[in-house]
Amino acid sequence: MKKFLLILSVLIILAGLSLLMIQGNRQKSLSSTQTLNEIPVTSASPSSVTLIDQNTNLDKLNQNLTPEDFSADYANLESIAKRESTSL
Amino acid sequence: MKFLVITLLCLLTLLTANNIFARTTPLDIVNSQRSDYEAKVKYYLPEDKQKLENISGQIAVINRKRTDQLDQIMLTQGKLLDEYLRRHDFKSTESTDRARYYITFAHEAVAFQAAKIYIYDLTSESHLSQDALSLINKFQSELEYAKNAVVHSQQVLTGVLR
Repeated sequence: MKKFLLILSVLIILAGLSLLMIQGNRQKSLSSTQTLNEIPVTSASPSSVTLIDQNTNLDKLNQNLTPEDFSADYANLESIAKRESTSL
Repeated sequence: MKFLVITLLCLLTLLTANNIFARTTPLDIVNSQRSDYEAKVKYYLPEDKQKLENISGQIAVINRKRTDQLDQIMLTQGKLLDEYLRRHDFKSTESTDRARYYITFAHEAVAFQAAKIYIYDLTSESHLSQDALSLINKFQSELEYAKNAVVHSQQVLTGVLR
């Protein structure tokens, strides 16, 4: 009986320890998400969003929302890479 | 003897518990890519390393600027749909639900793109320019994916508003 109780208590302690380790690991991974936050999702503030009132032509405003062409940015990046690569 | 066997088994469980419950997250992938990059780049010439960092820094700047713009568009698209519903006594239809779905989808795609960190997959120092161009191509295609999601949700919204 004594042996059984001893084994049971050891088992309970080990189970507790493993749970603590698992939790610690989770918290560690949560705190390291800071590296993902180096680039903020958005710097936009709600006040900078276009105001829409009763007189707004919704369809017209929607048509004006078409994103710009990004090709100038890509061309700029490629030219930087080519310029840097001449001495790489 | 029995006690020893059981204790050993418990210790084994304890040691492997973390592996059993471990789950690969996007953060794990980023950290793994980062450590691979750092392990390789430390043998590169300092000026080459600096050039690589200049390019990846520029990618981060463009990504931030463009995803901020796309995020603004998505917030406005959501407001447009809200205003449309307000003008129609908040009666949602199949088309408004569809627009809501695509607006949410595109907004999430933009947020996901904004959170991305671009890390080189270095092959060798003699292939630095190819490695840089390969990262730029990856960034372009992923940013275009987010942009196309925004354009698609705009088209779906147009179908509702007209």
